[in-house]
Amino acid sequence: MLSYLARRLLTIVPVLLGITVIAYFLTRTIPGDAVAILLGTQNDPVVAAQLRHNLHLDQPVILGYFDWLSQVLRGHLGQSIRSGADIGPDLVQRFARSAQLSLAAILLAVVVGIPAGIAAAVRRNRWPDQLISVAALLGISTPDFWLGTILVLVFSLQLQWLPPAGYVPPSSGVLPFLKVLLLPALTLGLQIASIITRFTRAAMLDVLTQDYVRTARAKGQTQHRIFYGHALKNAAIPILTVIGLNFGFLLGGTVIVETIFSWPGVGNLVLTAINQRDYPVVQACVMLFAITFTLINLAIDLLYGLVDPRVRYS
Amino acid sequence: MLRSSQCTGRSLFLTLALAAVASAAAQTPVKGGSLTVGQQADIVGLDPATVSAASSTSVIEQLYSSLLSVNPTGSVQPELALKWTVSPDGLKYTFTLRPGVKFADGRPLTAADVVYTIKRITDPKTASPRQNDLGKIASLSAPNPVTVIVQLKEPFAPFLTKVASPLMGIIPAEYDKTHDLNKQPMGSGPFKFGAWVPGDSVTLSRNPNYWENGRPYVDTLVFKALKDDVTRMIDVQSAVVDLALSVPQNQVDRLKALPGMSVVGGPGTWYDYLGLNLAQKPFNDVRVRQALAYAVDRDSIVKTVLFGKGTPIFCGPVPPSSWAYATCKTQVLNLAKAKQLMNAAGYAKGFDMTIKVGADYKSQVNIAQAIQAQLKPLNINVKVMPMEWGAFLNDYNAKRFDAVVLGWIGSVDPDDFLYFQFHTGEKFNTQSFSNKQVDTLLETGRRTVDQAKRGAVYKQVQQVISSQVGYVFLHINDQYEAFRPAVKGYVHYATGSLKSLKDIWIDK
Repeated sequence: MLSYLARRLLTIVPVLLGITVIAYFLTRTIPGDAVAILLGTQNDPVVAAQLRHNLHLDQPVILGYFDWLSQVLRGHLGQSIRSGADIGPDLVQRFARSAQLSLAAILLAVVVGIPAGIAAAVRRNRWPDQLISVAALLGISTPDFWLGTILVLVFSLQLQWLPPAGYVPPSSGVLPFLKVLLLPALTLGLQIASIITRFTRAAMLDVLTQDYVRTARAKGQTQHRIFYGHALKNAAIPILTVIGLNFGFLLGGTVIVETIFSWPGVGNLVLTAINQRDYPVVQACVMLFAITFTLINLAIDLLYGLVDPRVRYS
Repeated sequence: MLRSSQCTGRSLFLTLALAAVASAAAQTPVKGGSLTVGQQADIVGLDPATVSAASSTSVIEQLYSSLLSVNPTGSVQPELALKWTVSPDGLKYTFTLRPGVKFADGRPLTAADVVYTIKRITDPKTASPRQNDLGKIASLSAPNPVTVIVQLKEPFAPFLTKVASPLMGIIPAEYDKTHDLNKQPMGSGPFKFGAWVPGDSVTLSRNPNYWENGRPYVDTLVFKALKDDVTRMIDVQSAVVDLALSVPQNQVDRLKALPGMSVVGGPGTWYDYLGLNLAQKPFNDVRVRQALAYAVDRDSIVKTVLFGKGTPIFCGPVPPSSWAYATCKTQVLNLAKAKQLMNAAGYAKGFDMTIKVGADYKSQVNIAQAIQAQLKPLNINVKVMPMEWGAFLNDYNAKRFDAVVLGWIGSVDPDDFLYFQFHTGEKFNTQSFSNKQVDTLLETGRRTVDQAKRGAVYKQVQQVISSQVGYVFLHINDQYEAFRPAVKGYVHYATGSLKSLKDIWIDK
């Protein structure tokens, strides 16, 4: 198990190195550059040239890459072109905020999605199943920008129960924090809950047709034990996979929802940085997304072994 | 499109300003409380010499004082300089500073700081977008702590209004050598810097050393970045913010109708235009340009795209509030004349053209589509191409376009609206306009210090530019702010300046 973990961690290194190449060169190939966007339509060639020089954007791209890579390897992410601020501390702070939102959303999705999926599978083709399936279909098909807007209209504008947007750190009180968290977490969580519901239902149904379930039934096991003791455990792997994937996506930037709710997380940051061709910030965000995604995948793989003893790491 | 500078409004704003002053006088301002302002974007730094973003300018205005400032009616007024004199030849400016002014950290502000600040802005190494804004400076001196003398190489009439820009804020000499002004700004404005949470907000607090007695009234001032228009408007209705900037044109009437919500505004200094690439066929033919200018129905664009919240322009871009506003009706709707000109130019069968436009600027995309329909009668087949802003600028700066719909934000001085866009070979003359008479007039305008004579020059030059179709001028956009009833003393500026925040008090 430990050697497996070490090997997996080692394979991450070339992956990340490859990602640095992609992150750096792809951001540089986007048409338009940081200086042009800084100056907008007031593009004075003399000022632009001086700015480009001040920002080291006039050096060959390949040299820039190695400069950046050596900086990153020394743990320094550089400075934002746009604001001149150090990227590292800003990124950590924003990642923490995105993580709060993502955790809340995934928690909500799991708490709603798994029981709903099981309930649907257990009562297959009866009205609870049909009701849950329709609800899940609706949930998947509802775009989050629409859902977010509707939630704000109802809960903030009409009922005035919750703030429409903004961010309050948890340190300033649990209740105010939960109040700003609820709407964006719901917006993100409901769609993933629907996905998890469908996956759970399908995985459960798949398992329930297996021979060992028939054997268990023949041995006179109770329904409860068959469903929760045998079937759910075996259905867990696809469910875990889908949870992990979605969690990775969430952490990788909930761009639209963060924009609607003015949640100052990584999604918000990367969107602005791309629009402004703030290369070092875009590169840092891509690296962060890549690292979290690989680590979540690794964590999910390790979890497989915990829930399913048949999985062996060799 | 970058909103940068300061400007004015005349009659309407004077009325608004007087009304605000009158109502503020009726009640006594109280100190204390906090004011939260919702603006469209997060700041990008706070160094007045290098930034140009509107979001940063709003905050910089609160942190720094300039030598002069511009009031809501567009006149230059004393700020750090109590008085100033201009030599008869228009070359020497002498400023006398207000005594006893201190920076937020308590250090006294002297003429040496002013000289240092101006030198820093004009130093090419600073790469300030405003390095040429003050004309050609021959020398700068501070003979004593309260006197600043600026000697110019040639007369430059816009000098005083340029000096009055909030982005000419005075910094302590040498301060930038040891501090990053983007993150640790230091000025002598009504507020001092507190904290910046990137992506979220900037918090300022009252500057205890501020020179204007009793101001500001509020203890803290928070600027929240609320990019989404709908979110920003909902926030002001549900008291998350007290004042919301940039009310979308389609929301103005709805918000006005809400009880307890105040909406103020009117024509700003931001105009939209159709820019043609005059370096290429068929737009190098003035008849074709004139035909296009005659075919565009500005009234219908304002009515449909801007929800009536704009003013069509028929002559030049200088807004009606300015003393240089031109009233000629050169670019007006006249389809018969347009067709005639197309025939004369040999384009009776029309041609194909593409209008490139920034996709994020929804109203400009809609304007381009309206123009597309309006040019059909001339058999001109228009393709509208909304582009990502960075890609758009790439093409625009490289002059790879037939036509663009763009906006320009001017400032107080008519020179801001005209010189760099229409003088031959100038830096923002991307459409390649060139006309000897226009060049001469624009140069005269810069050298004429007498405002009445200058006004005549600018009225004439606008007429020539619009008849030669330097741009197909479209309209001036209105600009509105919405605020909650507790906010007292707010004054709308046509430029979007937030100078009046120091006069705001919260009615508890």
